[in-house]
Amino acid sequence: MLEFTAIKRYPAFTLDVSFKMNEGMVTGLFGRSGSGKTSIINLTAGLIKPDEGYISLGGKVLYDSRKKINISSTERNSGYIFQDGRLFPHMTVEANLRYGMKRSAHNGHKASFDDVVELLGIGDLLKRRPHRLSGGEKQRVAIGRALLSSPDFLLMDEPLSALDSHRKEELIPFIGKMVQTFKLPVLYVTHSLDELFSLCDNVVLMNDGKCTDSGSVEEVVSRPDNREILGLSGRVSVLRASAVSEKEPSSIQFEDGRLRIPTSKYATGTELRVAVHSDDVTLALSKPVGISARNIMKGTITSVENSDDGAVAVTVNVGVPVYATITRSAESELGIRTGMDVYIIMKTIALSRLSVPFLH
Amino acid sequence: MFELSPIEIEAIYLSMKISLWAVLAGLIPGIAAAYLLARKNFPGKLLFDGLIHVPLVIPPVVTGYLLLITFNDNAPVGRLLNSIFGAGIAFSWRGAVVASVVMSMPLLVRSVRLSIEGIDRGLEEAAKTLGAKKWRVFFTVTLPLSVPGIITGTVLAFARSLGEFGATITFVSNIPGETRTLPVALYNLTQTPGTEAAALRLCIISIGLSIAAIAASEYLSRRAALKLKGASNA
Repeated sequence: MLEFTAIKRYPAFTLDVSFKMNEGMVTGLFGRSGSGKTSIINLTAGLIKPDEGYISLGGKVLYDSRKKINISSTERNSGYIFQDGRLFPHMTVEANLRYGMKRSAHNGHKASFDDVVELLGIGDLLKRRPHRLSGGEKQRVAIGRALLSSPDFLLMDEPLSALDSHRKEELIPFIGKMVQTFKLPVLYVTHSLDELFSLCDNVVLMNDGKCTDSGSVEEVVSRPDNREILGLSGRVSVLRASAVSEKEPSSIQFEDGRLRIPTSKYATGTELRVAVHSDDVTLALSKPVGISARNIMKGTITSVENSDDGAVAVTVNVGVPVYATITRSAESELGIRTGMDVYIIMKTIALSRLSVPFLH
Repeated sequence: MFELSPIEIEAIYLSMKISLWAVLAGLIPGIAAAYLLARKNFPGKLLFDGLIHVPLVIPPVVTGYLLLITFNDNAPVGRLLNSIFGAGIAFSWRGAVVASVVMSMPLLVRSVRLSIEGIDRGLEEAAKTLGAKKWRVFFTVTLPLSVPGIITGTVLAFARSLGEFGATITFVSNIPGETRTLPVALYNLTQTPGTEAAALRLCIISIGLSIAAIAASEYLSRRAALKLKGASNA
């Protein structure tokens, strides 16, 4: 478990954050740039000292202003993967990778050199110097270097933000695989929903130096108040699902129903996160027939709220909450009220906009 | 070709010996001072910085005279050195080394300091998070990355020592075979009528040595920078 409470005052900015993370391996820190995400990582790594606070990980106290505990960054056993890689330019890739292994010698080898090199596919790069690596290769080496220092936890500060989208897609699976293989708690700074959906179990939302919400990705993203920070234009509910059959590749399953998404790129068993945008959901009183939409599910209305712009926000429980935005006239015509059974209709094509494989 | 006379050989030998010793003696304190000035804040930092740089601006004769007052065999420091090593440094080639160290220190410290200041501190932070203690960070990251500045500084200091005159002649005088370095020998010749040709020869030797030193510095620091390509200070 990660417990984090810290106050750090800067001339033009105060970080005042408190959160706890219980389950799950990867905790995302999500927010705009300047919201204090990197400060949290640096405080956890011991590169910045808070004015006051308490930081502990898995029962090990890293910092406690009251008991005057402040483990130095050298002793914190963190695996920090910096935004800009920070490979040592005067060393070969191999020397970079081995730099932190001194610690692992008396720390119990958690990862073997060969395993890490193979996992990250950097075997051919060992003799090169960092300036001869591409951006993606640099980040893979940086990840390897952190892993080989046998850290107790990983800190990743927007490791993909310096890369173009092609390289990003290439690297996300590596990170997912790494988390799965080494079972380390990870703090992952990002401002990308794709990365959040693919990699994070939990998320801490940051705004202007404060934590505004935290919880599982599904909960936090589905909460209407968080739309602005997340940069979502409407209400979005996030469903966990898994691809079911290779013969029917467009079909995926979540708790009580089936969702179809128009793609065949996911193999059976692929865990997915699907974001359903409220504007893409239609309500019907009886099961519709003769309709092109493939995804029709029965559910119960759990809440009906008028929103400012004249629309009505309806929450339908189909095993998980799904949001629908309808007009006021539709509401009165259908007699929408809490407790009613309805069918929700989702356009398959709309679901594919933000459905990503969840990687661990 | 250019046949060197015994007197010239003696002067060149003395100059080289004194300059090499000066560089060797000054290197570690110079790097340490540069590191302190680049990275640490401590009370009296400004004074320390000023003390190191003052030989650059005051007349070398003043520096030499101050050294003489401090290290002559009757002064406390001079007597202490005498009792420890059995020999003082005033009026000996060792004194010439001390004068060269003091005079060349600002050049060495300046270029090493600039080099250290140019290092991305993030790299040192990265080393720390990988478990490296202070000394390991210094020797594996900071020091290797400041090599171009160390090379430049060393060669500048060497060249400065080769040319050192004012402080040397004031502090250790003009003793043949002991402290009569190239510039001192040259000065000696200019004070003697009818030695224009010999003086010119020493002039040419002096210029040649200095140019060779600067060329070596360029070559070495370029090679080092090439090795560090991608480093922020390369």
